Amino acid sequence: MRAFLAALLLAALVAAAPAAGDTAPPADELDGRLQAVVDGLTRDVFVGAGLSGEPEAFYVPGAALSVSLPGDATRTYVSGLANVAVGDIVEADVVQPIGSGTKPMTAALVIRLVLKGRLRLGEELADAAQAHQRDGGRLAGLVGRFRHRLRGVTIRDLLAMTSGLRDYDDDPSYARAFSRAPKAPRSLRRLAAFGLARSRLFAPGANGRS
Amino acid sequence: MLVEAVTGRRYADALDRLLRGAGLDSTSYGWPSATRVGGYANPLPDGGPALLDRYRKAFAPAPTVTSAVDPAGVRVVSSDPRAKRPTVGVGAPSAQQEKQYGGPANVALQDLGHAYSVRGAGASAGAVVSNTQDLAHFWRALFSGELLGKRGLGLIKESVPGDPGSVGVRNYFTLGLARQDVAAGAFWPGSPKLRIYMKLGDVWGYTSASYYVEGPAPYGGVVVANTTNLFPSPVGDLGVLRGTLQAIGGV
Repeated sequence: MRAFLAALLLAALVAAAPAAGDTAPPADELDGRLQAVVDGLTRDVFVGAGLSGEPEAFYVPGAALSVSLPGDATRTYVSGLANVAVGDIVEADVVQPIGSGTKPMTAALVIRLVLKGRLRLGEELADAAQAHQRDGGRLAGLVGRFRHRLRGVTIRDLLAMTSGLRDYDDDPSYARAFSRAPKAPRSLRRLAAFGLARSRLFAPGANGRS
Repeated sequence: MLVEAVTGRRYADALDRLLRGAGLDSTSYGWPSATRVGGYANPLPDGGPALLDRYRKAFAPAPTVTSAVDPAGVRVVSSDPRAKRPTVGVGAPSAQQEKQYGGPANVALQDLGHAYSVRGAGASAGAVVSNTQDLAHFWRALFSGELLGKRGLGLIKESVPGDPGSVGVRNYFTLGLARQDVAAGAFWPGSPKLRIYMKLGDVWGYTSASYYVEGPAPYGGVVVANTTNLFPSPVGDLGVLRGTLQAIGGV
């Protein structure tokens, strides 16, 4: 059905395209090649280790690809389905969660504060938390609770994955809480506390590990 | 939390100001209003480690949809953990894999996308909702110096060595990104030496990958962003960066 849907989709796109000539130049060769890249994601089956560790077949329903060449406008290519049940196709402006793609944005916020002189990369989180309490002391409270865990952890370590602190999301008590209420909102402080509650993986400042 | 402590602004507000300032109109912290975009996964296996069991229970109410598929080809993702980060770990199947996985199949996918709170699960490490156009725009603004200036760009590029990479690949963490130095010929036969700044992201039902490439023309200065609506899925970006650079280079 995937091939069938792809054919259907192609037919719909061709039908929707403006007549060749006046406004729509023929897609150039690069466009065709990049479209083939994103089509490969939704048309091929990928075999790899699943959660169980055993090989599984993975069929990607929908994918998008944007490419920005220096000095050129961004080109976007889409393939497959945004919603399999109702048959919505992926469109260029469709949004979805990006997971850790969030982290560079958070890092940019912190680096702006460094550029303004309000934080130093080399300062320990515990010291920064003492000095800055415009959040009503929430961070200072968390740091106080896990002082031993955060000893020696600098802001640079947090950004570079060299703090040795654990992720909150591979923690059994987080998984229990998530399982009980997957739709519950959780504060930054609660999420951080899951990771801080367990021992560090390595001493801060060592080589980064995710 | 650090941003909140220093600025007195909620993280969501500080992020929103950053994104609007950078011209990212489609990007938000958590889902915007109603959307029908599904986030899919193979049905989580029964049993297994206690942790997996917890997540399986959490997602039990998520709907499953079945469709008949007929894949065009079979691609195999390396199980070598050293091939995790780069896109070099995707290859051709063996005859046996071709036979086992090629051809039509009925596939069940569970739609996890709206069965959990993305803000509650991801927060400042993973709760942004965006698209590839905005991601490409953000990475271009970052690497042009427009977002943080030259000095800020220098800071975000500061690197420490990371996990060992596959042959010809060195992994680093920067202050917020990952970096791979790929030796000549290591990405594909005849590929040039490349330095790739990148960030892979995943959360239940979804993946993202963003890249900025340093190297000779026509690869140097290229920004690539990619999303899928399948996770858990095999590691990496399923070969998208390699395919994209080969397309650009006419390889």
